Amino acid sequence: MINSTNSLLPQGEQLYKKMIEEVQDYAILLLDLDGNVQNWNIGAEKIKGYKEADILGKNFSLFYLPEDRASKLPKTLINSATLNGRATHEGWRVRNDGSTFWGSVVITALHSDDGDVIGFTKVTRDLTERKLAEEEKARDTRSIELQNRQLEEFAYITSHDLQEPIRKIQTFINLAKKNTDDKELLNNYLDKMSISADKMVSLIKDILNFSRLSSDKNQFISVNLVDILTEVIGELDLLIEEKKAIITVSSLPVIDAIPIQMNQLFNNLIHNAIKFNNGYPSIVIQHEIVKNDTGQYHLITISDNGIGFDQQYAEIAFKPFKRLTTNHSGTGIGLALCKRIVENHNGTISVASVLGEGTIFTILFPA
Amino acid sequence: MIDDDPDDREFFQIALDMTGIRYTLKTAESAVEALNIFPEFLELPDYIFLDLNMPLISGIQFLQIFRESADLNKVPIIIFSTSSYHKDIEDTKALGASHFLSKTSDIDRLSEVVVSILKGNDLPFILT
Repeated sequence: MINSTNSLLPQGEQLYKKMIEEVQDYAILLLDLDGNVQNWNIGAEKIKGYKEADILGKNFSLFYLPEDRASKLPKTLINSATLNGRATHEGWRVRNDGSTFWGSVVITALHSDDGDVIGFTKVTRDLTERKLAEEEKARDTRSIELQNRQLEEFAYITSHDLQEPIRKIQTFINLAKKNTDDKELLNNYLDKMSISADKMVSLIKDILNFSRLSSDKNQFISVNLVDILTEVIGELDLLIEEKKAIITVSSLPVIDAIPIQMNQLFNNLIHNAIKFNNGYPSIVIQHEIVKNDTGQYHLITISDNGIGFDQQYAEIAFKPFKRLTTNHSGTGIGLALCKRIVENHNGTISVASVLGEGTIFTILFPA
Repeated sequence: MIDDDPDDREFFQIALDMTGIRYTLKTAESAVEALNIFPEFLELPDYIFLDLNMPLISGIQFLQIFRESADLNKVPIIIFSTSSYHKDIEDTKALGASHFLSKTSDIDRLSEVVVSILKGNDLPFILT
């Protein structure tokens, strides 16, 4: 009599095998000592995307990312399970179609009656949704922290910078009232009120620009920074001609960015480089790709031969409404804006300067 | 008086003139300039009026530097600022400022307060 193996199994054991086969939410696998797949269930097919025929006999390291295979993570987990009885791990895993999921894995060693390890069970859950929710929560937390800092900054700006022009206008009004007979003095006070009112208008504009800077992922597109720079040079045409400035550009990369913010960034930096120069400005813009422990970056430098400043003030240069000079016009928002734009693009900006010799701004964007 | 704003220096001088008290006023446009001109003084000033929000070295930083000098440390410093920010008030008090005088649009009031300061009257830390 020919009978399938299954029907030879006692009924309880067959039920047990069915149970494992039909579990949908967990991939439940039997591995041999080398980690080769010995059985497959519906859950495994659903989570990992392989049909039973395609995977039986293959090594379970197939489910791991290339970098995890290179660092021998599958082997490490098997070794750990052999040694400790079980091993757990959470991480990104690869499906048959190449997509990834966040797997929570428990590998348990199976022992013979003599106590020797004869194989492993591996139970995997797809926790991608939970993982993404956690990541989103962490992002939200960071965003709230950032917004709190910005609010604090805003409170400071409101208590300092915005009050100043108003107080001055009030003072000039009071002084004018005391001197209604002196026409010349009155005119002088009126002029000063007008200057303070203009200052107020430009401060409010700057604060609005600053607070409206978006870091919305949907606005990022592929941007050729050469095009941005060409635009900016066009916008600064008159100033460049007036100061006989020379701008030299080696090469610039194409990056994922918000175009208008890139324009603001380069406009501010080049405008500063021309403005803070008592001679003929020479501005050199260079780009190279650099690597460090955390990854690959576009390194962009913008150097000038301008008036420069003492390096000890480098940090305050990027704070809103902090100016390094009273002799040049401006509200002091420019570099704060640059810093926020670069941070929106996950980059960093720093400055090195020597008084009387020039300034170099260094920007790093992830490549 | 250390203040980068020419209008505020002018307001202060008008208020001083209104007091009728004889005075000598030296002004510096920045904390850097103030630190540079102090060594040239034959005698220390009786009072320093100090703005907070200035380019390069802020008023707070000036206070910190100032406290380190044993000679200068004796001169009372009156903060003269637009700010009413609680942290500025706390920080300057902790750094040994004598008073925190908020810049006002009322020159008559400013003049009255300056008179009480120069007369050495017993005054609270926060003055308006």
